[in-house]
Amino acid sequence: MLTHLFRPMLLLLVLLLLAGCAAPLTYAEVQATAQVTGCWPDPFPTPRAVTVTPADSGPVEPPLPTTTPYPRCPPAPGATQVPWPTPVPNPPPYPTMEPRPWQGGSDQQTTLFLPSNVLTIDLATHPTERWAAVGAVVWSGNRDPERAFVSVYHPQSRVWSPAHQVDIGPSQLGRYSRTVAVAISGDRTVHAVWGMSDPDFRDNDPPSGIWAGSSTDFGTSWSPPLRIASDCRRVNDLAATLDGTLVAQLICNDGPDRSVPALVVRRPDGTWLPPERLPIPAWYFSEGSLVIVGEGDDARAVGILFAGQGGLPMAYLISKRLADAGPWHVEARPIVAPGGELGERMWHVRGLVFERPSGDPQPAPGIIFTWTDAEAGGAYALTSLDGGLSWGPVERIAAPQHAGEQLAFVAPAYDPAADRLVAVWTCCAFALFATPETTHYASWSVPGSGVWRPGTDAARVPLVFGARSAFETVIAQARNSRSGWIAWIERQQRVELRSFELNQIVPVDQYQLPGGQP
Amino acid sequence: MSRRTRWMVTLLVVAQLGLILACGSGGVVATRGPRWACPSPTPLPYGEAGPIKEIITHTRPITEGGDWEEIIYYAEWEQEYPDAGGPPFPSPTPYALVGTSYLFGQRVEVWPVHVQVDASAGPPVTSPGVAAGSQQLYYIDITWDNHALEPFVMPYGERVRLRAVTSPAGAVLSDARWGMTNLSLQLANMEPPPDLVPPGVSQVRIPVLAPPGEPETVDLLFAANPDYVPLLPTSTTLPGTPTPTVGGAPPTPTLAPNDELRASEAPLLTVQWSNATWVPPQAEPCADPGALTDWSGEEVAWGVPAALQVAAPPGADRLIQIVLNQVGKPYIWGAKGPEAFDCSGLATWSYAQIGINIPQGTAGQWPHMRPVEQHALQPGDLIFFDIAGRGRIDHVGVLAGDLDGDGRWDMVHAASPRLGVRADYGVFESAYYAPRIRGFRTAR
Repeated sequence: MLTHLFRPMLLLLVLLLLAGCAAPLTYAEVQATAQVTGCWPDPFPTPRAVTVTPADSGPVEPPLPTTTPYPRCPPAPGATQVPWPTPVPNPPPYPTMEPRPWQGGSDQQTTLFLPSNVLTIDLATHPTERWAAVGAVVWSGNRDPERAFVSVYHPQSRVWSPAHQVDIGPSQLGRYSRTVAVAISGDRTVHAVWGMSDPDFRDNDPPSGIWAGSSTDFGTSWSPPLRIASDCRRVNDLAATLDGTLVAQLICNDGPDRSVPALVVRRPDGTWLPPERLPIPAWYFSEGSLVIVGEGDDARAVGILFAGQGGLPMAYLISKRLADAGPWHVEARPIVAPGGELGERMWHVRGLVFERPSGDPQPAPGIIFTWTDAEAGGAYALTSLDGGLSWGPVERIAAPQHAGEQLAFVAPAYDPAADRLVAVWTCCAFALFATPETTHYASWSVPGSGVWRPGTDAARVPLVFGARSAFETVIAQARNSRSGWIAWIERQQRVELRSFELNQIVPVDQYQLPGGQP
Repeated sequence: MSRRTRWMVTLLVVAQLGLILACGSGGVVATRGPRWACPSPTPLPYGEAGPIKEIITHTRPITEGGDWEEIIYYAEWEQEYPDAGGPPFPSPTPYALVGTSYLFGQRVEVWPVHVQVDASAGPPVTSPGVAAGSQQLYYIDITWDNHALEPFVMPYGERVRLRAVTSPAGAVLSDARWGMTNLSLQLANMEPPPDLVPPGVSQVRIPVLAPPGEPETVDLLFAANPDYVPLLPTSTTLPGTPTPTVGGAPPTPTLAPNDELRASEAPLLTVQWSNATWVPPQAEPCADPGALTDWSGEEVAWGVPAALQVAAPPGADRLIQIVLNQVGKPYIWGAKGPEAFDCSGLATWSYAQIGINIPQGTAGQWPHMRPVEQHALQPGDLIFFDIAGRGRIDHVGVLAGDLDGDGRWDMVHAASPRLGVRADYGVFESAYYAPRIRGFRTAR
């Protein structure tokens, strides 16, 4: 036995010694050595395929070539054998939820999986019913155009509609503005707004624009696209009310070199008003969010938009009572966050309206906007407990714990039973064109406290949604529902959706009920 | 039947039975990620993690230590750009991260089979229970070339999907439910295809019902098992190939709430064929392998934290195509793409798209990339300028070859905030740019 092992080692040693003082061996020489030693010399490049016929080929005639390759020779003393070729690793277990009978929701589903990358997604629920619609922009990566798709969850059949391209004909997306926003109004109409721009915007000819479409049959068919704004490139968000009012936050051109935000309102009768441009120095890629609090004449739109000023991040809080004819109220607010310096660009902004339990017959709704820092990678929030009339300080939801980590996406939810805000965020990488291990984590907070748990340095709470490589992640929640919808881009190409129950995220001790978690 | 023949048949039957048992739920067993069947270089480990390219023996007096050997390893770029002088990078490898998206009609290797998928629109369906004008037959044609000695199980009803169609109005509709059913077989007046893919070449046609239109994308699902060793007529395993094993222990999950809900599922490899419009510049599709295999590949890299970042087998054509696609985008100082660029950001981002990491900033690119003489320039090389005349590099462009056919070098660059990303032609003859050229660097 020892002799059997010793012979290849000895020959290999001789081979290495020879290689050390002579020209490198040819392939044929290495092959001949392998045939003698019975193993392939370890440090040599993997050769071309060879067929080796064993001397004793068994009872089969003519002898079949063996399918057993040469093993690699043992590495030299003190050397480490490098796996070669690298074996394909087995897939690791990944977190997912077991199927369960949802009431108005669904287990994890893939609503879109095309050969190209999904650039961005948006998600909305009916204001009071727990069904949802998801929009996605797919980048072709070839000479096909970018496309905007919308899928709708049918509340009765509980089936997602096929993903339907909405940007058809003249409304087709350009190659430089790739945003889509969705909303559902009280009459169960699903609305989509998308940004279209001229591929060559140096001359802005034809001018870029924003388009809208709607579906009254849960996504089966769509109205012809309607151009609702010109010379605008990007839609940041779309909000809807029960009575059918829509408000969209846009980014528009202001001459050849400047961009400004604009708001465009659709009346309940379906009339889109001209966009109102706000004198805010924005970037063409500035991101923001928008919510509507109240209904009817009391409805107020409240939004946030991020830009930079002198290298510092600046938030512009925008609001208006929609029944008023006056201008939008704009409040500029420098973003100063606890626990470290911020970059200039804030992005991936999401908003949510929530109603806290109160004895007041007309309680003031709360508003939360969440976002991440494109450079420093932290997740932040701004909260109002009075419907946007006043705002607390910037709250830090979570932060990177190691160099190179990035919390790229964060989205808010609210558990009315626990009276806790919840933030779901992704960690720890940001890669649209790769598939790093990135999954979801959760934090929670008493509204207005500014304190998010677990703390920045505490153990993180991973969620079991089923993401292995999550990119953009968004949440939508019907008013004070105990469950929400979450959608994310999985492994670059897929739009994944599922329902989740907030009491599976918020810890038991956060519920102020005698029995703990309801 | 002779004794030996019976013995061989028995051996094959046992092997096939073992395969079927090993497959569990059935399906073609993909032992590695898909690749183009065209000659296609595939990403491999490089540097000291990869094979030795060359061993150079240097002569040195014995008093100074005697002769010594310099081991040369392959550089990352040599995967795709064959070196003119040295041995070519060994290829292929079973471990390829090249994506899962192909064109209709393209022959793809999903070892140990080659498979070619095409799709066509059939007639509208008129049948009780089907609303008029709502459904149409489609035909998915699959050509197999099974290189193994045994057949494979392929449950077509579960593993073949028409993923997307283009409606007559021009809208793409996508769903995961359009597969072969009893109704589609009945309407197509076809028998169910056999669930076994025999050795050798075979063809099968799958009828599918879906909304009216033209076929856009087809999915084919493979059971993935890197440990499976197919029974092949000749040895195709490279000598020296170690028995595939799991690369290290799986990551230990962090203890946290909801851990009891963790589960795993059998890996499936989804390969897609589509009618994407892709016309490579000045080349037939096979001449630029992997052009559509760039942004995907997730099934191959199961849970691997992107150790192999190369997502696309590039070629010079592919890089230039990417750079040209950026023309018209704005210039923003410090922007690294893809929505806006500065001059060095355009080069860095574009190279990153084909899996090559080059330094950021002209201050990183100029001193740290490999110099190349003007006579040896290739499309994709970088050209550096001292625009301001202050004696330092302040601008870089990507040489794009001869874009306008006048026999002169053209470049694509993020020129300025006013001009954005643009192509400039005849750069060596340009009265503005030529005097400001300071040199060239290459990632080859």
